[in-house]
Amino acid sequence: MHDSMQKITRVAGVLGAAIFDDSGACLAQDLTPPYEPILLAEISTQLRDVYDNYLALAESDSISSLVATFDEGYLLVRNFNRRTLMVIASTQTNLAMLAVSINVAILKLGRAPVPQQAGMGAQQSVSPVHQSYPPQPPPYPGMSSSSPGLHRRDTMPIDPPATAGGGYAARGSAPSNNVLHNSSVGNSVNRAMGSSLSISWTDEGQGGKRPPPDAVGLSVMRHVLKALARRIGAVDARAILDEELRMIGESPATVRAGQFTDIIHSVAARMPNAAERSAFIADALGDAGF
Amino acid sequence: MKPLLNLVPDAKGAARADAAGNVVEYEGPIDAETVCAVAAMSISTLEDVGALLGLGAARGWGVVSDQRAMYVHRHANEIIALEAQPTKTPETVLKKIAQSL
Repeated sequence: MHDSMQKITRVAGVLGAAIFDDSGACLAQDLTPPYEPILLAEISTQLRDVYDNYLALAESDSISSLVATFDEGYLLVRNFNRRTLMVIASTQTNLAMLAVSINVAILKLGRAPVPQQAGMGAQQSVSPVHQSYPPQPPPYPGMSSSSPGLHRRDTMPIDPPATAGGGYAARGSAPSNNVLHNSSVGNSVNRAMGSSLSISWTDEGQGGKRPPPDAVGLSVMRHVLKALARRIGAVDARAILDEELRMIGESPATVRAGQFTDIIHSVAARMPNAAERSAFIADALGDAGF
Repeated sequence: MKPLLNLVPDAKGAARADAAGNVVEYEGPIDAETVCAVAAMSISTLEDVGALLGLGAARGWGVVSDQRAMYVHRHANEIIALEAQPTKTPETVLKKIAQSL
């Protein structure tokens, strides 16, 4: 199964491929940072809304595939045999070639038996992370400066700010315009990429460290991550929050209630636009009860 | 709309609507109002997906089911929706539509 993913990602411009079972568990993947199975599982969950819209036309119907074109790339999804194959590609990709490659992979995967849950952990290609609803935001992978993902990151955009002058600035730099957003957040990302410490955003990645009793919890921190990701993109959001967490020596699971609002305000302080700051704070604190 | 229908094999109909899904014109035996409403309803979700993936704004998409294929292309403040027979390669159809507009 992992071989099938690799064959897809060999198509020039493909940024990653992953396959999930109908419970949202990743069966195999060939993803390069910043993409991770948990991010695609979240995307898969969101796409159900789109499927539901289309199924309203005929309830007995079932969605077999989706392809979406974005400013900076493509997302291709195939549903087959209670599995979901997701492929991310840049705009340089030959879509026809990729489509054929995906269909060939599906043909081969269709001949293979559906893996049993119990056996999944034995496969190297299987993610130990089980993705399920409610959606989880993307984790930011620890990357070394020699990671091949860095080169792929170069092909990906750093999202422009939602409003003119609304970009984010790295701590210590003076935000002023859109260009600064790109350079400053890019630097922030690169700093995080260069760090040897990887902050885990999963339950499994806490290394046995027990969260303090007053910890706000992973779900709350993920909510913040998602609120930030909606504004600047998942990668930059993850980099900025990881940076904030490193500064206080905490992980998403160990952030205490007393530290939580400080983090929110530290992140907001990077935003040069007051309206954006307020909106982010309201969004981040909205469901947290702080 | 007619050139668009000729472009896509097995096309059933096509419609042009504003960003809210209100039909401006259509061609072919399709429920244009519903098709465009469905297309418009999907925009926000796909915008979120694009943001999460860091790929930017959604320009177009195609959804293929057992019974039909629907393609949507966003053009200025309008959406162009096209309904056709299912295909195994919606990518190429979507590309054709984008290139023709």
